[in-house]
Amino acid sequence: MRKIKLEQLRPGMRLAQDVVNFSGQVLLYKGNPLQPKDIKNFKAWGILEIAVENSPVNSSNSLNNNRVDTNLLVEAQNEISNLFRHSNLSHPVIAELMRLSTLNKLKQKPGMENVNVY
Amino acid sequence: MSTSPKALRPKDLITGSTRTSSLPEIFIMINEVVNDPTSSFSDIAQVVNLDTALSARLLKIVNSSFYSFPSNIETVTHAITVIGTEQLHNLALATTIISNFKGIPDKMLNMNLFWRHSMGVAIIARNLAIHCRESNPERFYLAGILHDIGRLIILENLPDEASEIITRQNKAGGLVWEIEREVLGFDHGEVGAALSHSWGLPLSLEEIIGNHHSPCRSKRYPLETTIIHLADITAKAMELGSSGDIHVPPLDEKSWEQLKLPTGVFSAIWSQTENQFNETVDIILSG
Repeated sequence: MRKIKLEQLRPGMRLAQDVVNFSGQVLLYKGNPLQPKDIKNFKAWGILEIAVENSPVNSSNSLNNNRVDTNLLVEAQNEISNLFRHSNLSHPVIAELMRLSTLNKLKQKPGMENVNVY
Repeated sequence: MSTSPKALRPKDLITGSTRTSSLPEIFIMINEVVNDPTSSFSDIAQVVNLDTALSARLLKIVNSSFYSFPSNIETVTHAITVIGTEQLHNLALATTIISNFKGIPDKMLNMNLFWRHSMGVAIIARNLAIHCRESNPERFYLAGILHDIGRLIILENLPDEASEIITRQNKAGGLVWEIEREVLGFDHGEVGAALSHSWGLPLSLEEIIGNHHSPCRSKRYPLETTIIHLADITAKAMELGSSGDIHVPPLDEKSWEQLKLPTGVFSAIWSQTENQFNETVDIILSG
């Protein structure tokens, strides 16, 4: 099982846990394959993270998955490393902010305007 | 002066500053009419209309994507009925404070970038509060606008110490509020809290501003303070404006755990904030 973000969900992935809204009502039971309407439904309920079953296909996070030019990626990462010099880089909040910041930098590079950042 | 800077207290800076000794008159008038139980929305609108720049800004903001109402709002009375008096109050305070501090020279701190950072924190804090299901997320907007205001007061009242702080930071690359504590004995958060106190703003604001770099020190409002702390970190990561220090401040990990938020919240907040920031920042900072 792994937890992924809403925007990384793809139809056909299988839920590893029930998805519930904030009042505890089940939106979709575990084991069900995802359909496009489910993703829309989760979005409407403000669900941010979903536990899905591991699948051999498409198992990396979006940074490595978008077939980004490695040189551009390294360049972006260098630009933000100074920004985060006082941060504990192993903390999940900082890791997530660094991921978003790197994607944001990549988006500003020529020819990368259409990379989906979120 | 016979006293050394070390003996200074944050509140000494407030009483010595003409810019901060009193709130802008328009804000006091809005305060009075909002707090008067016999006032109608049109009474309040009449007071807001006295300040043409404020009423124009208010209409622009309520019609921006920040509120995203389905129809166009054309009168101040209508604007107040849809956003409520509390939000009007906060918006009026935010806009008047920004124009009140306009005369500060750009030499040491770029004011446009400073307010961009503050507005970034304000918008992120409001969005975080919504995700935490906090009541009245609008109050976080005001806390965000004001969180770094102590820096401006230090800059104006202690220019020599302020430039020493900037020089030290440029040289050694430390954290501004730590250097402030070394040089002055207190940091900009404490100065901002003293200002908030002398203006008679709610106690929660005083505590949030005072502890935004160390939310664990906030006794009565730990959640509120953590939201501003986190919004400050996020605004730095998003590189919205600059408070004079580009580095992301260290996260208070214990305080973060209190919020019980998933890390996935940041990508949602990032995209929400980008849109709202781009729509509102120029409206508030113009004119």
